[in-house]
Amino acid sequence: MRILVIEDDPETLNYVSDRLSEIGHDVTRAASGREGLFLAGGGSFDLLVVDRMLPAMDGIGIVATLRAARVETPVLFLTTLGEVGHRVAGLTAGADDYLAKPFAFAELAARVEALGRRSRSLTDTMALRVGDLELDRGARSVRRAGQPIELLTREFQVLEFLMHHAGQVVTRTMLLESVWDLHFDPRTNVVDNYVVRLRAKIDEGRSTELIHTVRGVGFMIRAPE
Amino acid sequence: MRPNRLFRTSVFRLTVLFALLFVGCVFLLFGTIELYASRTLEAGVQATVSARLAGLIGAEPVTTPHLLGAADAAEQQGQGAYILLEDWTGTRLAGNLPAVPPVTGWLRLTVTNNGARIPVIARGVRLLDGGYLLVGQDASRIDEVRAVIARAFALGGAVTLVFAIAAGFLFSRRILRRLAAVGRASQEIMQGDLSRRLPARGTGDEFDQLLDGFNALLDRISVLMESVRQVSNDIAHDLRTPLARLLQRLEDVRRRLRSPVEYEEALDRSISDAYSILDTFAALLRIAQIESATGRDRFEEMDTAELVTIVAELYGPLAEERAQTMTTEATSARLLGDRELLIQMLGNLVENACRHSPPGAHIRIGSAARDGGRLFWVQDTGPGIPEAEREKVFRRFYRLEASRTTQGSGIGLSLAATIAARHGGRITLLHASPGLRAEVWLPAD
Repeated sequence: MRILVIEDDPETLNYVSDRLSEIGHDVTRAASGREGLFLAGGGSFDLLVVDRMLPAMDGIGIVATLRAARVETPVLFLTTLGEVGHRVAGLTAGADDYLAKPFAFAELAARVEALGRRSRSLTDTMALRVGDLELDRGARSVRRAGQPIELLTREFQVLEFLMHHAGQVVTRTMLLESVWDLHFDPRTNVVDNYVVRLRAKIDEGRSTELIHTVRGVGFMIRAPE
Repeated sequence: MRPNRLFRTSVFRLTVLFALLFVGCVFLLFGTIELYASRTLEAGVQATVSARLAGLIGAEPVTTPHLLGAADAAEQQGQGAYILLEDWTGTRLAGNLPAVPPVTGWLRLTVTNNGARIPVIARGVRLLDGGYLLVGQDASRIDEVRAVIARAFALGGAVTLVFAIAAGFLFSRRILRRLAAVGRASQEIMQGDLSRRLPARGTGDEFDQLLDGFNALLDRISVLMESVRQVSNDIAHDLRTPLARLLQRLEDVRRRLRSPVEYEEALDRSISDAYSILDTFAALLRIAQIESATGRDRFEEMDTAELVTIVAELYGPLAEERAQTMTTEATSARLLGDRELLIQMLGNLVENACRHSPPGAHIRIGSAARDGGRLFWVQDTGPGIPEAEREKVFRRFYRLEASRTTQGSGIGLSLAATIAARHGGRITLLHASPGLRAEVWLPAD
């Protein structure tokens, strides 16, 4: 994925860029808002990782300018100790996701992956499919190998999000944000609990497991190879 | 007070302005009355003169000789009557006035009579044979009346002036004294006495309203200052300890060569320490942000039962882990607030209940409408909190002796209290025999 990182703090810039390169992305660095805007204006990137607070031209200014120029490259904001109000402002300006510093790199990687996939092509289909697992959004029904599986609302929402991002790591915070609409860490195993329940309903007694735990990061659903 | 300072004060300026205004009014009144009075008196004198003239010459054309007798008679009349008859050469023939050039129409003369100067209003006419008749009347009454009016007004004006100065002085001093008191109070506040307030008198007048506004402003400022002070204290006292611990561990590891496994373990623990320090830091900042936030633009309508359900859902796993049971007893009611903050508030209370109760404990979360607001409660069957400690647990980083070893930063209750206050509500801790019952009362909107 071609990623442009716009960040004025050289240490964070190097850390983020190096780590993203390590996991196989093609990273371009911009140390100022102006430079970043100039590069992003070309529109040849799959994703922009933008520091929310930049001298001279801040993240919101960059996103607003890009969106006004019809550059629809997805944007992930990085911010210091995220305040909810700031997050709202960032998302209103046209950013697609928001991550508060300090963050675990795995969290950033998962979100980058999720956004990148979205930019490539994600037609909002009514039916999601992973291996022999099918989820029908309209009928709110789930089948595995043709057999219906009964899910509680929350379980369905968690599964839907996982399947939406099939093949990608989904972190606990991503699930908390999108399924529970919470932007703080309740410090409980609530997400794991739901995944455990889903696993019991979907994978137990089957020859292939679809739901996987990615240690220390989150979960992933993927079709067997 | 030295004179030049006196002249510069607003009291002085306002007083002078007041006095000038009063004196100006008196003068205007005097001028009007004087003008009208003298006009009226003059018209009366003129009427007398005209009547007398008409009596002398009648309706027919007259000549000088005709009038000689009449003029003498008129002169004898007295009562301030004056007359003059001249022939066509300007020679004085009769009368008690000195010879004057023959001017027709109204004129004013001054006659000296026994050393007294008497003003006379007179009217002259030309006779058929070129003679000249002048009839006049003593007008000294007019001047007398004018002098009386002037004297009256001078006296009245002087009294008014004194009153104006006194009133102006008192009036301006009253206002300026209050202003000065406000000025002094604000000086003291600026010098650091933030608890000081501007002196309102409680009469509710415009001045009081202004001061109340300023006082509300000061209240807000001191809340913010206190919040900033508290945060810096907290950071100084309570983030230093874990940071020092982290440093100690890192330095200890560095002292000698260790195996990769040991390094890895030390790094992992350090990273997790750093994260927990950041968590504490974030929680402190969050409290500060909530405390200093105003406005309700993030408030939305929600249902109390839904709130309880989601909290039970989020924190159920924690109870399960500790072999505790959790039940909800929520009634549905409308509530206006910040959903995420309220979840966090109840979550912190539930987390406290779970962490401080032994395995097997039972935790009840509930809500009901109460006293025009909404009541939430979190009740456990744990050891409870001694009466004397109940206030202290809301302090940041305060931890009961008995719970030093349990997990937690000691900031949860303080954050919960801040969130309740942000919504205009309060948290009360009650004895539940056995256990603790935390009640949160919030206004419905």
